[in-house]
Amino acid sequence: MSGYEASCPNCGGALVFSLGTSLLKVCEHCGSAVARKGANLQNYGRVADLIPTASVLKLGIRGGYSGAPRFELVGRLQLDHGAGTWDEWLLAFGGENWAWLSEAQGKFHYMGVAALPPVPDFDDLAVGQTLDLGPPGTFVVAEVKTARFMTAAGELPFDVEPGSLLHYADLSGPGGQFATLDYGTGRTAEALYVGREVTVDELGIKIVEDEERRKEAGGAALACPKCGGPLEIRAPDQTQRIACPWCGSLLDATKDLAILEALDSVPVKPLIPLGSKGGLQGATWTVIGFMERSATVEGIRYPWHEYLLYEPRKGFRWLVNARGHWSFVEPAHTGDVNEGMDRALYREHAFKHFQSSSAVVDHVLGEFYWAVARGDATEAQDYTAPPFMLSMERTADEITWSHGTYLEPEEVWKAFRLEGAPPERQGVGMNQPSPHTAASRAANRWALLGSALVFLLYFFFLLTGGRTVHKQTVTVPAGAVSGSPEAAVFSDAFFVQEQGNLQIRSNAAVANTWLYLAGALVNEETGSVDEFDANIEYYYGSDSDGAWSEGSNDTVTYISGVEPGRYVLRLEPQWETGKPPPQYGLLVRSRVPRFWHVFLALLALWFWPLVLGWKRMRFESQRWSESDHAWGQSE
Amino acid sequence: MMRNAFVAYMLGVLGLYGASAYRGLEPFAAKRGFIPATVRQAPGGYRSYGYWRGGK
Repeated sequence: MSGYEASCPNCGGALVFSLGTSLLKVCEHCGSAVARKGANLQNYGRVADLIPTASVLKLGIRGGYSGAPRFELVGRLQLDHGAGTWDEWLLAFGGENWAWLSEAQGKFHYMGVAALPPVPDFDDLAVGQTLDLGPPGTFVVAEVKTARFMTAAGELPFDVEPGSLLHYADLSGPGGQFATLDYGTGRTAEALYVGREVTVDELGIKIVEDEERRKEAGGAALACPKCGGPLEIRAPDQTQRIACPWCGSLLDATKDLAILEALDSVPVKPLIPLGSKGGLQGATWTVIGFMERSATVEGIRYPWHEYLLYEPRKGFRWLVNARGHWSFVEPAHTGDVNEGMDRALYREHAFKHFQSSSAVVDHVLGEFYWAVARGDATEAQDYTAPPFMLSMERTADEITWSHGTYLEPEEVWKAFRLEGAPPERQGVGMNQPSPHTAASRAANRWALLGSALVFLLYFFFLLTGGRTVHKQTVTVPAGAVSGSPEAAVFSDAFFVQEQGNLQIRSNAAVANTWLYLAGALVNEETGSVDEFDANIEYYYGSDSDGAWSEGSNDTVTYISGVEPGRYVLRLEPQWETGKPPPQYGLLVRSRVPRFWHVFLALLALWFWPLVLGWKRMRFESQRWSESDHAWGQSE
Repeated sequence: MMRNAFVAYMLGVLGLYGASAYRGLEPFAAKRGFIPATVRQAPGGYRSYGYWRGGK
């Protein structure tokens, strides 16, 4: 590495700036912060000792990331924004090249220097605001804060006196990108860093083993200053607040367990004991914290429980229990969320808005990686796409999104080896998968297929049936009286070749009169008789409303299930007294498809899909009754 | 399980539809009667139920 060598102005020890661009170096002999001012050095005095966290990283560690030259950790900066301390590591690639590796809340962000576009001043920034950062894309402001430069080790690429207040904004971009606008000690942006979340494995770094870090953090065995109860710290490098599991008192983990709020008893008991380990979503998580939060809507308090899970390599997750419905909740990248009016898109997945609320922290137990306090409130928006949920929480200076996956209660019980049975679920959970959805969709698919087959069969019958088997015009014998046996005639014989129905179409040129036929289809071979009647009437005229007409000159009758054979029709006509007997025609067709068969088949096919669809609707109605968008309720 | 049950149900419905359409079954069909040939061959000797009922 190219660099710069000098002597410490405080102790005279050798100072080596391994990066040519480093401007501040903490003397490894006396702990003084020494700044390069051109050819001169300025001593800012001794920096505070490093906050004894047990970060998985150490100065001098080497690694490699995504094809870039191998790097070495040459600097460590510790910052505190009032609710927690985090580490920024300086990665030197040799020569003048460097990048930041941010380590906070168990997560790592690799950040390289990018060209700074015109951006608003610090005072003009607001969370939720979108900024066009040029080539990296459009980013959402997720956090606007001021942090104190607590202490440092190694070298840093800027010249700022330890103890200074530094302004910054964290931004979230598309595709998991992350950016930081560095305002330094002023109000105008000085630098832009762009990168993404990475894992230590991706960085090719071998992390310090958990037990070693635990010892370094010195938090393995502590006692509550209020009740004396033993406190076991499970994430010493991350913990900001501890709520004593024995008395419930809230302690400041960063200030020798100073009592922030004294209580005499634990107000709530978690269903999953603190310290429990359970395998979920491919990792073994330790329950390190528990909180009861609530939202009050129209005077009714709706509480739920959140369990803070920790795994050193993956960081923090949440297990949320709302009315017996469990969800595994992970942080979501703000830049990957596209929020609309009543919808949100997250990684191409659409979520429907469920509810807006003000979520308040009521009780806490165990460890937390931020400075939690009872009464903390956030504005929350929940979206659902079962079995997933998407939640946004916003404070004045921070916006966070999280993505949850529904868990069956038995799955949680099994994962944490809990005794007994999980509490009964109440109602329908916001992201509870409907037990009817899959069956309903499958039934719809099969019913659609069945309907298509029914129509296919119908068209087959339509094409192959409808053959004319008899056609005749009948003249009533002269002098016959209406309805008398003398007026009756037998038709010519005809053959029916195939089994099926017979359609008998009768027509007569009646005008303002009627013709009634009492008929019978007679099988000449077997003697079977199917009786039918046909009524033909047609009237017309005009009145004050104009011309009118009713009735028709023909009528159609169907005979059911006619066997093949030789047939005749016996027809006994009746007509209006005083009028001449009308001549009438007959057209007989066999195997004429009937649409009522299709109708009944469709009704039968869609019966189950309709039942399942109704069950599904009832389930969804129950789900949404708990939301801001209850069905049947005007918005 | 549900899938098999529904497929079986669907095939049953399709079978019923095919059979009833093929056989040309009609709803509310009158009961089929039998008339001896001797009666049938005399147009005035056989009266339909319509005749006894009054017809139109």
